[in-house]
Amino acid sequence: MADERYFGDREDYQSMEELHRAAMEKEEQIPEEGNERGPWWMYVIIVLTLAFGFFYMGRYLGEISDRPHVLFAEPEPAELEEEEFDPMQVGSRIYTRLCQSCHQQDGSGVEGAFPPLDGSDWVIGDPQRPVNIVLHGFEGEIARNGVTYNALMPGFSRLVSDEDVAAVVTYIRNSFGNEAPEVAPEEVAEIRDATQDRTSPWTEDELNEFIEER
Amino acid sequence: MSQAKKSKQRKEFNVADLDRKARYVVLFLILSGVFWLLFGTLLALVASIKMHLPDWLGSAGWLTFGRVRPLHLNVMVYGWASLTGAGVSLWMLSRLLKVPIPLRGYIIVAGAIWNIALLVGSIQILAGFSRGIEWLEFPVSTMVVIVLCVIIMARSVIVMVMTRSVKQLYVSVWYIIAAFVWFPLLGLVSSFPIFDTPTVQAGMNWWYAHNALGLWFTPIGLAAAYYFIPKVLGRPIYSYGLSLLGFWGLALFYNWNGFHHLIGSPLPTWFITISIAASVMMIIPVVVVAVNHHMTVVGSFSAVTYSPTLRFVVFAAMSYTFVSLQGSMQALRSVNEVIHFTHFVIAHAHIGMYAFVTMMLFGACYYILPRITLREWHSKKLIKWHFWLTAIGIIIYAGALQGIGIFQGFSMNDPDVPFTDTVTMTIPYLIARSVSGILMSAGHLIFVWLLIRMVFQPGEQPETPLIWEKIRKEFAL
Repeated sequence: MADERYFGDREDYQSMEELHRAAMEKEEQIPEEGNERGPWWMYVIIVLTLAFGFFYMGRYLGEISDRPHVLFAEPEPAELEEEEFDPMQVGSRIYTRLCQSCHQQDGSGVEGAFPPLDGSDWVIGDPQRPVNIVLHGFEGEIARNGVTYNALMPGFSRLVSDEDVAAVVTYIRNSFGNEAPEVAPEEVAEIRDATQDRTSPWTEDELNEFIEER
Repeated sequence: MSQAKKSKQRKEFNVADLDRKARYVVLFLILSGVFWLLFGTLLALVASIKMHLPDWLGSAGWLTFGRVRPLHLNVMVYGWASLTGAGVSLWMLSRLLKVPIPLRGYIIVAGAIWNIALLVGSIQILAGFSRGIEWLEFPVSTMVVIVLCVIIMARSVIVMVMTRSVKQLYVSVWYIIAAFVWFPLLGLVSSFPIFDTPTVQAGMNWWYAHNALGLWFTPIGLAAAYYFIPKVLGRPIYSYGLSLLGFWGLALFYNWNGFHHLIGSPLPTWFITISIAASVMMIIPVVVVAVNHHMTVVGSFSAVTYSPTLRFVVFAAMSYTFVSLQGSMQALRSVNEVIHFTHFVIAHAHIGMYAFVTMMLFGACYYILPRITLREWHSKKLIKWHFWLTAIGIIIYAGALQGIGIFQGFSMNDPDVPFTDTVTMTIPYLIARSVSGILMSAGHLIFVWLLIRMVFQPGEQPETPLIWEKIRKEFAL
């Protein structure tokens, strides 16, 4: 009996199409909806969600204006911590950014082109030399330990402050096995002042002459 | 007088008549949609594989990730989900209101123009003429054409509602009417040339993109769930009151949600705060709809083994609950801080568009197509394969990407981790994504094969109804 509601007697129908049509003609409507109230915890969720929504708007609404990104009505004043100036740390960062690509991470340089910094007498000697070279660059041949180096190093005087030059020179004077006293920003400022008219990189002779004059 | 005459003349249609009249329109829309599903699947695989083999197919400009990926999105959204969704909606409406689909010729012409627009738009995106706005990569001209086609279908929807021969509007009808009003609005507003400044454009972008999902695909998907669950089970929907609450909750809260994509952007804070609050409020309609669906199905869960429609629809309805609750959490600033700009969000979008919308449409197709073609699905076994390949595929997809997305987010927020590490750590999971993509593609191919067997009838056809027979026996109908 129940079977007949859908397909009737199988023999009565010739084709699949008729089977489907017969089934469809007997298809039932969607039953009318119930009207249950739903479980209690659903209402708890609704109330909690509403409560959260109002709380969130009240707490984080900020200033209603068309000003961009006014985070909250009264931003807490940020307390700036006086960070102690560590020349080795700052110098290391500058070295990575500006020097490392030529002089290498371990300061060994590249044979024939970029002179090594480790064990260099200029680096650990009179700080005026490295400071000058960082500020204005260096060009021309220079021979060290039987190897001749020749490449152009640009000057960085426009890119780095006195503090940064002092830091990076201090860094190379105390890394790669070197050991030499720190360089103060004031010394850099003095040299920058004294050489402010310089527009081309130093050569070995010019630099030696400059140091002897002073 | 004439009114009375008119109503007398109005014919009482039974479902067989309605389905016969709906046959070509609905079949055309569904088949077009499935064509774009295949094309979109291909694009998806290419884009996914490029994520871990970046040099693959990189030599030609039109095959680069920046064109393939947006096209995948647009084809799936405006091709597969919109065309098929429109077909499914019109069919449901015709049955629920007991009137044949009106303006059938116009709809078929509109569907054809829509397909041409998609083709032109696809070529434009591949050639590099993308609008560069996510979800709106198609040039404005293509978008306007698509919106006009939807408006023609919306006209048909309104005529059906006006000439209906039932008194009550079932909950699915509300959702479908709303969807056909909301989408043209979204499409037209987003095409106005008034959003040219960057911040405003970003705001419009996410208002549109989020609403396209929430006010176009979600209503269609929920309408299908509300239709097919009681239809297949022969049980009433648990509660009319909850249906009402769910619908108006969606209508009230969803439209504000999109701006939670722009936390940390130059948009005013109050704007984003309201959006986040509204996103959290979405918990209300989602939980209500979930309770309503669950209480309807509960006790009849075994039916999912016999009805492919119910299996897909129940999976999709559960995914809707999951993805929506997840979305409400993701909107919170503290959560967003971690997951924003990670693969987590990509997976979230796919749970929405695939595990919910696409699976729902598959379920609807399994129900509708035998009825409008009066033919039988070729193989029950293949339908099972289709389900498990796509279901397991999307679960792997979501699991892999959301799992790694959280770690990726924490690493990106950690200044000590180099950016490259946050990229390389995802590679195994990107490969898992491609594998899951292959599973889903295999599922799609099976679906297309079943469809071809049914519609174009190559080879032998089954002699007895495969699916109804089983349900009939099990439930002694």
